[in-house]
Order: sequence, then structure tokens, then C-alpha cells
Amino acid sequence: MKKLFLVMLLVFAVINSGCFGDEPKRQGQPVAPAQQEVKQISFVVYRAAADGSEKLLPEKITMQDNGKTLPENALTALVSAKPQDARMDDVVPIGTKVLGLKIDADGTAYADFSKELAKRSYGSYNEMMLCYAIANTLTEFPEIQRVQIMVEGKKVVSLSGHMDLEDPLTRNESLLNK
Amino acid sequence: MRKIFLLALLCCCLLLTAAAEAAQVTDVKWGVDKDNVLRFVVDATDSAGYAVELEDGLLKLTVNAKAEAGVLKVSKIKSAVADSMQVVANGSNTVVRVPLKMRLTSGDYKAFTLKKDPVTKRPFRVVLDVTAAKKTTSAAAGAGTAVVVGTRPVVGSTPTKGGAATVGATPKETPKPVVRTDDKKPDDKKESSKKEDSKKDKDKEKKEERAVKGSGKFRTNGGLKDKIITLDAGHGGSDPGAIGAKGTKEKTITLAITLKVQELLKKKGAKVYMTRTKDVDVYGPNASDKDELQARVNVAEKYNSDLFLSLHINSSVNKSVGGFSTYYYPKTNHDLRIAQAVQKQLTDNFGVDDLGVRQANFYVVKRCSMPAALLEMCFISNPKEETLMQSNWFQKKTASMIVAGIEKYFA
Repeated sequence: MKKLFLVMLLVFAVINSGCFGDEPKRQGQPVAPAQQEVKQISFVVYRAAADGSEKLLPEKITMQDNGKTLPENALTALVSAKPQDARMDDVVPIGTKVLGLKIDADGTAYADFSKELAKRSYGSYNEMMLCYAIANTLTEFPEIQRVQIMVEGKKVVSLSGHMDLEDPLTRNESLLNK
Repeated sequence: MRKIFLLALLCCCLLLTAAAEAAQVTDVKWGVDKDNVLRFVVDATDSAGYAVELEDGLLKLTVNAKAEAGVLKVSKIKSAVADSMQVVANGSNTVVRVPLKMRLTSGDYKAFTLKKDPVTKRPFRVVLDVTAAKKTTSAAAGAGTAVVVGTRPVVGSTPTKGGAATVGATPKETPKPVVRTDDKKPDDKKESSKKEDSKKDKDKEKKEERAVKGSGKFRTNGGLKDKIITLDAGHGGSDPGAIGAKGTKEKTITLAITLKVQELLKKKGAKVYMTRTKDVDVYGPNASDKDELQARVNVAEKYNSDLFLSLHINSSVNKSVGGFSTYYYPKTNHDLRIAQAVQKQLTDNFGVDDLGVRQANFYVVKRCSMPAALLEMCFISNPKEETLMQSNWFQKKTASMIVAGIEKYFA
């Protein structure tokens, strides 16, 4: 009971200080009291099946809300986080970074990556799984219908010399386990 | 006569670019040169069809591509021909509307395309030159009884087999040599592309486009004899492809097997064309993926091939994955059939995994007009298979199984 009172007092203090419009000060306030309210967000990213069966497996990721959009978080997680399931392979080349994600009103997402994504030594299997891991992860969100993969701000036709990426990719249902 | 020629040229352009999908207009510019020629340039992400219409004092350039945000606008123009231009969207087309201050006839303007140039980083362009002000400056204002030159509708972006079949059936230029043996060509290309002369660019563009599209006709039965088959050894030159743990390069194995397939097919009476016969890039060293992949398709198109096969070695981050797989793109009724025929021969005769026949959005099998398949002959990332594919025994047997599959396909 006493604890709750203390927390309420703190929350009140935070709100109060905000009322005086001293912005830098507000940002400087410890966020600890608000921690209970931090929202958890979750989404699905698609990973290549480790058995080489040309399947994409969904991995559910839950994280704290960081203010970024769900598609942004999903794309970053796909590229930066290792799969937590042994049945899944990480087909994103080491060192790849997400440079940006722009979603047009027509449903086309422009996903921009660092140059590591275009790995020349990838076979067609890896290239295909990589492209559709990106496309299927992003098209999981209703506002995204198709995905244009870009490298360092430029549209690319291929990553490793097999895939045709000239037109935006649509969701590939055939790679998903039914 | 001139009208017919213009129309024919227009049709050609439209049909040739019909296969290109979802190009986008990225910019529309205008300018007046020292001879008072008014030029409009429409930048697009990829080749797109276009049409020019002249009616009721309005010149309309329709480009078969959607405009990106920000392209649609009304701009002022400083020219004796017009005072403004509007860029508007019409369905999935972009239309440049130019209200004319003077009366034009068919000889007063011309339109052409300039191809994408990776060297100078210029996009595909549709150019419309209005030369009316060059001769006369008499400004006959208002709408006159202008001559309608081209009212042909712009074709859709869906590739049609029938369309392709009527294009470029009689190429006048002799095709370029299939395999580049010297390093001079890319340099020549670089130099000529730097030139600003639009006429030269235009000529080059035409040559390039004519080379790209074959007759669109292909044979699918009647045996192997006299069939025209283009073989593509995956990667090469500056692009090693996948690399195995022992350092084996994909480009080396694909070439070795492809050369063996060529030999066997020739023995059986087929005419075989190769995208490469040595360790080279097909387009040129360090070319863009599009140029490099399109150059391979072009070889098949140039010789009106009945069949196109691209030979690759697979690779996976998982080193235990192995086996054969064959990819196709379902653009004709025969792509699946050739993929199945070859895959069956390979998997029936080798004790490796059968990963199956699969549909894939791969450039070379998608963009060529004849039936095609892309073969993935085991995994270089799998240590066992890497050793296997280095052996002459495996290469020879794979080649003969591929040929047996082709033979069954043409039976």
C-alpha cells in the first residue's frame, strides 16, 4: 500500500514537472516510475527452415515498445537478431543493417539495407530465402502489399545474381507452411 | 509514307517494351536548345511503352508507366511552341500534356527512347522533340485543325506471347559475338555512352532492343536434331558465384559442366549457343546485375533459341543441405515440362537429395521468351557435395543426364 502511494507520488511529480513545459528537464527525468506502463509489442518475422526444405517458419518476437513502427521493428529484428529456434537458419548476411523503411500509400514498402545484403557468394537458395524472409515479414502487416528491396538507397535487380527484384516482391505463400 | 513509318516505329517500341513490368516515371523535364527545339524528357525506372498524340492544339505524350509522387505537376515553359506543360496520371499511365500556341504537323515533332545507362547513371528516358519553332515563329494561337498522327492506345504492361512473336523477326544487324574475348568492348561502350549526341544514343538503343527480342517462336517437340539451345554457365569473370569451404568456385564448376553439355548436345545434332565459354563476365566486368543477367537472356533471344538452360551450383548457410533442384518460371506451357524432365533424369540417377522442381522469380528464366529452366546442381556449401562436384565423373554424368532430360523434353 505504502509502495503504491510512493509510486503515485512519483508519477504525480513527473506529470507536474511536465506541466511547466521545461522540456529538456522532462526528458532528463528518470523513467523508472513509468516502467510498469511500458507497452510490450509483438510481431512475427519469417526465418528460413534449417532443414533446407525451402520453407519459411514464423518466429514470434516480443519486445518493449520503443516508439518505432511495427514494420520497422520487425525488419530490424529479422536482420539483427538471431533466430531463437534451432529449426531456423539466419540467412541475413553478417553485418547487414537496415538503413530505412518507407511505406507508400499504395502499399509498396521500400526497404533499404546496407551493402552487405547483396552477398555475391550466396546460392540461389539463400538468395531466395533471404528475399522472401524480408518480403513475407513485411507483408505480414496489412499496410504493406509489396516490398522493393533496396541497397544503399538504390533499387537493385538482384542480390546474388539469381532473383529478379526489379519489380517489388509480393508475399510468397508457397514458402509458408500451411 | 512518313506517317506509316512513324506508326510502325511506335508499334515496335510499344511491343518491344511490353514485356517490361511496372516501370515508374521518376521525373519529367523540359528544355529548349540553341536551335529552338523544345525537348521533353520523361525519366523512368525501366523501359516503358509510349505514344504521341496531337489533337485540338494539344500535344500528348503518354508513357506506359505510373508516376512517382511529386512528378505530377503543372509547369511553365518558355518556348514559342507552348507556355506550359501538365503531367497527369491516366490509369497506370503518365501523360505529358502540352497545350500548343502554334499549329503543328506530323513532321514537327518526334519521339524516341534512350536506354538506361549504368555508366552515366542515367535512367531509361522517353524523349519528345518539338522542332516546329526551328523553322517558323509564326504563332498561330488557339486550336486549329491539327493533324492527328498517332492515336494508338498504349499497350498494357502484361507481356503477351503473340506480341513478342511479331517483333524483331528480321533483325538487320548481325548479332554481336556471343562470348567476349577481349577487354576492349566495355571501354568502347563507356566512351560512346558518355557522348551527348542523342542520335547516336538512339541508334544504340534500337540495336540493343532489337537484339533483345527473338522471334518469340520456339519448338518443343520433334527430337533434338537442329534444335537451337542456349546454355548459360552461371556467374563467371568478376562474379565467382558461391564458394565452397575448400575454395571451389561456382563459376568454375558451372562452366565445366556446361561445356560438357554443349559437346553432347552438338553430337546429337542440336545447335548450341553459349553465353560464355571461358571464365568471363557475359556483359562486362563488374556490370550491374541487370546488364549481366539480361546479356545472358539476350544470347538466347538473338539466336531465337528453342530452349534456354542456366546451370548453377547451390549454396546454403546450412552445410548439411544438399541435392538437386530445378527452377522454372511459368511463362509458357513448357517451362514446367523442361524443368521436370531434367530434374527427373538427375534425381533418378544420383544418390543425392531430390529437392524438387520449383517455381522461382529468377531473372533469366523469367525474362527470356522461350521455355527455360535454371538448374541447381548440388550444394557447394555441403562438404560432401563440394568434393563430389569437383570430380570429372560427377561433371560428366550430370552433363549426360541433363542432355537425356532435354532429349525427353523434345521427344
